[in-house]
Amino acid sequence: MDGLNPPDLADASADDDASLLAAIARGQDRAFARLMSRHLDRIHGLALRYGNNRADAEDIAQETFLRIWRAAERYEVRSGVGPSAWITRIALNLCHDHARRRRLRRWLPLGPQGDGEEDDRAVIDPADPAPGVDRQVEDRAEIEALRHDLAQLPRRQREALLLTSVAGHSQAEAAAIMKTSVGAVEQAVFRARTALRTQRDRRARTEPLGE
Amino acid sequence: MARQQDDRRDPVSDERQFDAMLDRALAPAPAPSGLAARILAQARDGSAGAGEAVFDAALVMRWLMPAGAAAMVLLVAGFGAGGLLVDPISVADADLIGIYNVDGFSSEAL
Repeated sequence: MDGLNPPDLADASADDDASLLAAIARGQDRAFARLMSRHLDRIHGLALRYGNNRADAEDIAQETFLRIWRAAERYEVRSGVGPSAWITRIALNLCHDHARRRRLRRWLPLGPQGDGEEDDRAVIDPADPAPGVDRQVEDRAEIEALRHDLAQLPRRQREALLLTSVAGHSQAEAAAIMKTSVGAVEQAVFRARTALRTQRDRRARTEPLGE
Repeated sequence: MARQQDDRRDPVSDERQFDAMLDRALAPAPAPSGLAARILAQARDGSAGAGEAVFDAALVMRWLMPAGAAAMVLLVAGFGAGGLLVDPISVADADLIGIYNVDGFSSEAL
């Protein structure tokens, strides 16, 4: 990522993130670059898998870090929320803002710009490994369908699943981000997986294999 | 051939296959090359957030335009008769700022 990945930061701890935030609050842009090297991919992935298209995911990732740059001094170590969870919460709130804005665009008579923005959100990563062409096509269709189903899940279920997978948080951290209990997160993840599995089985029973 | 015919699928391997698919559906999505540098440049030059504010203002402006035009006619008619001068720009700005603050800065994080 733009040469901002110093190897000495590979196994950095939460304490280091807190130190970086303190340095950013003093205006040190090198600390800002280091914090991005640790969290930008994670936040971008969260925004993309949340159901945003690539352009919106980039916007959300960008705005997340610009807010951190402007408000790093507002992070409190004793708040009970770790730096990583604090960063994720900002990104998640921006995902909510974008979703609200999307709904507003659809509601307002704004012409063609209001729609068609989700066209590429299910684009398959070129790095997806697959053994053969037919299998690869089938797998990609399956993954695309799963991502579509994910975007249709109730918000709490989707967020619990994304926070504990894409964003790399523990259930306790996810609970702090979502302002709920660990048990509620556990249940939401279970329900999300069950719903996705049910949808997949339903497709499997009705769709041809294409052979 | 339809999957419907395949009733003898092994539930364990099916579960594993689902897990594998879900892992791939939730696979990390690295930020595009150049995004970090762009963010850093924006942070340094202090232009952060202007684009979003302009976009929201434009959005609200389009929404308010019919109501705003009608209100402006009434204001000008009402105050104009009394010889008072109304600044249409400040009226529009007041509306925009009020609404933008409600929606745009509602983030719980900050």
